[in-house]
Amino acid sequence: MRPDEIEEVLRDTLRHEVAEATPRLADLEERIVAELGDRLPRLRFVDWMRSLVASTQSGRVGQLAVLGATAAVFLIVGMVITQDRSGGSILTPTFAPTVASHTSQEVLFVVPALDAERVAVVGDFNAWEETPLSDENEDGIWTASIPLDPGRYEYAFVIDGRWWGQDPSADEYVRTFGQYSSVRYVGGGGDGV
Amino acid sequence: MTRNGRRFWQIGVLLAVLIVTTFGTAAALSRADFDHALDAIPLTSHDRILAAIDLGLSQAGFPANELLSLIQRLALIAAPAEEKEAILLMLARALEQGLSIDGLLPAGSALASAIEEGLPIEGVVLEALKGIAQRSPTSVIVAGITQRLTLLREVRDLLFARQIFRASVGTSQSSPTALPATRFDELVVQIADAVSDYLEGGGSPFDGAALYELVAVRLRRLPESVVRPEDVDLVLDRIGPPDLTEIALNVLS
Repeated sequence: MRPDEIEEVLRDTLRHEVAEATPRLADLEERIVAELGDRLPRLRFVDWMRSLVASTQSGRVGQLAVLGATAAVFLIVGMVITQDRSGGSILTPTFAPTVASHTSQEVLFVVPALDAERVAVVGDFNAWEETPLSDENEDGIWTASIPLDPGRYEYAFVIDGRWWGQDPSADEYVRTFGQYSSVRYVGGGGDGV
Repeated sequence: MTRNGRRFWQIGVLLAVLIVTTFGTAAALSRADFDHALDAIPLTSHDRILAAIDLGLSQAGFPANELLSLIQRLALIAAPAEEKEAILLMLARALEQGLSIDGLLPAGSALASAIEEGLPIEGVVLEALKGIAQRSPTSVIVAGITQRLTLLREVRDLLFARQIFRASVGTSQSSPTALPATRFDELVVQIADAVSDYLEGGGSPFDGAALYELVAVRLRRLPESVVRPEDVDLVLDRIGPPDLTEIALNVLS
């Protein structure tokens, strides 16, 4: 199969998955905005959405196959948010990470886990012991805000007991003991928060 | 009693003596013995560690004597209590997850030796905790600990060889290349960490340029409060790709 044919098949698949996921997207943006309304590090969430859109558009077969329906959902949300940002959306970045601050910063961890019952984040900052994320309005968007001092932090999400180490909003990834972990630089050269 | 009967009786007594001498010492150790030993180290999580040991004492073949020896050894080491506690917490976490610490104890001893050498072990313990959280096999975790400790030594020795020194704790910086202990240690940890991540990620040790680039990027991304730009410049000026290749090969061998 030629690359342009693969691209076409992928587009069709994506279109189909988007159509299937559309009913679940009703008011999704409002729900996310309401959930994150009081959080400062909004920029990260928008960046995450954009990165999802970018990786999807690049046509990486493996990523698309793995992301499946979830990617489709976030593709739409990402597009909506991108459009809204140009029109002055509430998600317009209002937070600029400080550089080399000695004070801790609230770092937002967000992960979509639509049917999960329990989501936690583990990392260097909690000695790899679970800090639970919450999904108070039960829309499948789990969040936790953790104060961190400047530095480099490895972390992963644990979704219903399963390791999920590739957070799209991470600055980089490492692979140890055969599994991936995400990395964020807080207060430094990475995007951090 | 027949002759055969007497022989069975003698064998039975002999077996009983063997069993008592083999397992009797371990059985003799109790929670109180560990409580007492832990008292010699100022721990913030004394109760948690003791509760985990309690769990271990109920395991068959729990290496109680070896663990007690390690605790007693740690108590005698002149090092910050939090470093000793980190080792004990690593073992406690394994016990809490129902893992046998048989395989981890030698790694605990290796970490204790590293503390005695003045190596900064916090990052190594965190890696071990990550492995435990991932439920990785003990042998894999121990191999990871061993590799990271080797890397710390190699990187420290490389910096020494390049005339970058670790000033004594509490002394001020007397020359640009005699860095205060915390700054020196942070550089060692970050460089060793980067090399380890590179190798575990499947990077070739022979590609010194890629390895050097990874180290440089890692150091430059860190906030100034973690490593100072002038320290990063100093290190990157004095080490090169061949040095990192040599370190990587030493670790892998």
